[in-house]
Amino acid sequence: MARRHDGQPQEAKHVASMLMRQSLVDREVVRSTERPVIRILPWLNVVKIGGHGIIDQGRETVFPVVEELSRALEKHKLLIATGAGVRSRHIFSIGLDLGLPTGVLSALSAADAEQNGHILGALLAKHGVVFLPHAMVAHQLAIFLMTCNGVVMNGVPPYDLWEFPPEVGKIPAHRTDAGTFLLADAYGARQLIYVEDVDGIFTDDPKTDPHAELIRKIRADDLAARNLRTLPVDRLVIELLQSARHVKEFQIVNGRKPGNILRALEGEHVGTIVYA
Amino acid sequence: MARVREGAPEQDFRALESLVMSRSLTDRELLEATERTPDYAILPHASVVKIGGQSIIDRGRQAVYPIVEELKENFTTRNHKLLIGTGAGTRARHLYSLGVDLGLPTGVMTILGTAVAVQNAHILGYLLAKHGIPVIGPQQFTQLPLYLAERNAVIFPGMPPYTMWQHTQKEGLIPPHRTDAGCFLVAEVFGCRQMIFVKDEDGLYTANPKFAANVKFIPRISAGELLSLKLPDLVVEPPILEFLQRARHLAAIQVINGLKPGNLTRALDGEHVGTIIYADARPERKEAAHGTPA
Repeated sequence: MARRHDGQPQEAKHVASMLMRQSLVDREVVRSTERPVIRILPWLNVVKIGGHGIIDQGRETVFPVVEELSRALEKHKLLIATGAGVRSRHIFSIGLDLGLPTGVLSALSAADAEQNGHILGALLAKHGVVFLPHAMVAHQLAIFLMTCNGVVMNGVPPYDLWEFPPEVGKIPAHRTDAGTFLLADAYGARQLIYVEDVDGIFTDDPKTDPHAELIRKIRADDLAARNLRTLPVDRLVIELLQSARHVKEFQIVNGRKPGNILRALEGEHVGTIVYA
Repeated sequence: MARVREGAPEQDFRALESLVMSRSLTDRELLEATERTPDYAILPHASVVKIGGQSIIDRGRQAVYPIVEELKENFTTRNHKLLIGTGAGTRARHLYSLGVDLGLPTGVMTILGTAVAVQNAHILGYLLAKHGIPVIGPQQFTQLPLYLAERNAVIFPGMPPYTMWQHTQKEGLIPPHRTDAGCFLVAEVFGCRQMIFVKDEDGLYTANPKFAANVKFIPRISAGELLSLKLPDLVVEPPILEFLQRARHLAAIQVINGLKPGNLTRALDGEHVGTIIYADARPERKEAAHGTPA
């Protein structure tokens, strides 16, 4: 029962519930709310298509990926998320020079991944695939995927001006890899695949270091501990993996090698698997 | 529009541009280079005031009318520029209880909790409507500067717009970033002069004063020290402490008791009337800070 202060107005008008009057910050209270979480869409497969690695490369890279996605739609229900790519780099560099805060950089860059979503949407439209804005992805995804096996969304999560201040520097931490991850976990997706232009995670950047070695499979905390100089996925997803309820692993595959996306969707190990 | 650093801006820009265009955004050298860029405060004269849900609005007329009157005085005759965020409160607790029982994911709970903060924003909106104060959602923040210039205040639901994209906690299904975090991030992104949390306690105590006996009031503490105390309960959402440590504009927040008339006015004037939590010094960053003086 809540203590009454001397001279304090009467108590709040509460609605009876398990959490009534509770502090939602109290660690014990928060801990007491752990339960097995339902999978809202247990048949959902989430595939993120890299902005720089795939879409910015143009026809030569994009058409085969689109062809493979359209074949995948025959068998799998796909939520296809898009990365941002080079235009976000450009707007980041302008914004940083102007002194704009991280939240504004995040809001600006969301438009770039969204345009990439419209591009993939246009290329897949003949199969019934449409681009859906965030509000519809959050509330109407089920009906769209019951109607057609694929939907495209913007990988940037709706953090907008509310992006976290980063630990170092000003680049928004929640970019398209994190946005795709968070949504896959919230929906209880069966798998999450990142399609990039490298075979997976290497010991160093394979584009600059020919001796870099591919890491085929690694646990998230081991990967974090290795503190690699550069990664093909955003660092934040390694952290998110460790507190996710449903997404217990993801695979990074090279979308420039034909067949990889289909094989990964079938559960084959073709790139790097990071697991919790 | 102060450029914080000395030096040759054009050369700095070219060097940074080449890093940002060529390296992975996970590259450490790139991130460190962005650390050294200037900070532009978008709304340096505005203050963010968060009105608690369970602590103020759920108490009804007795608590809400005086605080609404005090807000009005401050954005009219006293000419403060106020971004007024709202908490959620007891109905969110009911929804979270149901959600936990049903095993709903944190993202769905965030959608549910957001609606409650929206209701509370609409309540304040109707009470302040005769002064021309609008209620704005995340999509209307681009119009906020005009409303602020015209009417000196806007009201917004405190929840950040994360919905299904909310982080999950390691243990427990309650959304970790709720209305305190949402209001803090608004104050930080706009480079506002201060962030005041209006609650029903005088500030921070060593334990929750509503339940524990022999609690000690903490009038002033650094975020780092507070984190190291690992208190079982806090008067603000814990992620704020980490955000404050990383913030480039806000140097401090103040938590005040809104049930005591005059506290909000004094806090807006920069007085210390509750608990001030301040960021530990990061000299390379705080040059352009506009927060409550530490």
